Amino acid sequence: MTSLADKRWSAHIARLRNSPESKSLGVSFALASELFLLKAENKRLRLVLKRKGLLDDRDETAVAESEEFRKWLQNEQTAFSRSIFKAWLETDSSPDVSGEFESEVKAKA
Amino acid sequence: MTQTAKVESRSKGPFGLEILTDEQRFEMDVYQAFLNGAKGFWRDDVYARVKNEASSLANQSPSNIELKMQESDAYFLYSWLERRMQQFKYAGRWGLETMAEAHMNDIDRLLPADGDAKGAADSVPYYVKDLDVHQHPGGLWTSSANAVAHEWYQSGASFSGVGTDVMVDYYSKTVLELMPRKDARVLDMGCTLGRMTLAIKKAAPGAYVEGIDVCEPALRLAKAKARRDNLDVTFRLANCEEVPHPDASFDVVGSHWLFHELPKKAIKNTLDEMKRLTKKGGAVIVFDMQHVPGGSIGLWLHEGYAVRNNEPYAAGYSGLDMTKELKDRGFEDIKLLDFDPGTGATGWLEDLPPKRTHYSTVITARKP
Repeated sequence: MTSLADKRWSAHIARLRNSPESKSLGVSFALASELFLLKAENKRLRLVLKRKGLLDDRDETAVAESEEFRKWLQNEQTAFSRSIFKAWLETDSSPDVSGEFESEVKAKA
Repeated sequence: MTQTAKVESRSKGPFGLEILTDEQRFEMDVYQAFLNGAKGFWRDDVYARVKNEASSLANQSPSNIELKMQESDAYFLYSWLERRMQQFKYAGRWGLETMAEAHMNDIDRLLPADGDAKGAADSVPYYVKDLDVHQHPGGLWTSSANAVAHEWYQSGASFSGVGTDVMVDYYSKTVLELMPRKDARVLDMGCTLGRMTLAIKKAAPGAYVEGIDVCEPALRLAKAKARRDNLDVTFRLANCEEVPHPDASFDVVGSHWLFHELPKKAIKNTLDEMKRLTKKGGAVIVFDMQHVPGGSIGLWLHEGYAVRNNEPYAAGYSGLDMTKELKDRGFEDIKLLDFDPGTGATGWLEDLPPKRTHYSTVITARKP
């Protein structure tokens, strides 16, 4: 059975590493992970509050306007955006081993 | 394929988790749960779509299949998820490596360097050093934080998102069956964090069990786990191509998921060492991705996996005729058996399984 003793895999890896659609997927994926964690935290917190009978709309509004919350928001907005758009700027962080792969395949052939 | 019963294995939690706060542990667990969910989508839905789209190309070469599938959106998503989810797993905001590196000082305190550490990095072969194998940033040879990150990874789901305890059980049980007596001497080559090595010792408490590897930080962690579990196991810094033991030192010489990470020359050297180190009447076991089911489509996906997940020698190992290699070295009673790490099912796979999995081949042989 013939194998891939050509440069096709290099092009494939290059597309995964650097193409605009790859970058977009990276951004979406990072964003999805943030949302997933957020949902988990929100669910956990609401379950705790509900169990204790402490969930109150007025308290939530007051906390949203507090200095503590504002400070958190300021820090988080920076970390959040960086985390999401990192995938666009830095793209693929693993070495491209297609050259090593191809020389191994050639050695086999 | 027959289903084997799942056997109870590790009872203690992953090493190093105690350095995280409850909140950090929660964040890391939820993040990994997100990734495992995405892996499930990739493993089941996207894989099935790609397999279906490629089915009309089954009589073509892997090279032609790759050419024709390059325009497929499903194949692009499959490839992207296969490669990039690994990077997210390690280096994402709550990735294993990110979390471990943030606690580097704690980890160094947990895993102090011993005599093996001096100059250890210099002897790490290029095929471990240069590739970020499995896309693990820095690999297992650079720091104890990397070793801890890998321990957390191994303790969770595998690359294909399924648990791996059943595989650990199967390997250790097979080694036990190959042992001629209870106090046999067993060598585990390429033991990394000692997961298999320790499982062998648990399955065969009377045996002398030794694990060797070229990654010193990984061995540091393996030793710590042995101390924690009160298991008398020797871990030695050594290259499987040149093992510092006299001829016929062991009754069973094995390796688990090592060969697919070795270039062909290193595989042949390792097989030579296995022959040299095994006693007459002893046995060898090689557990790894060897037989690729599914003909041309299976080979195409496997080669793609090798290059996408930075395991460039995986396809070379699959192309090797292991029966011939073992026969040429005088081994007898050579047996090859496919194993599904997800379910523990064994048999011989002709077709690609319905879900993407790390189908492995268990190869055993006797030295007359």
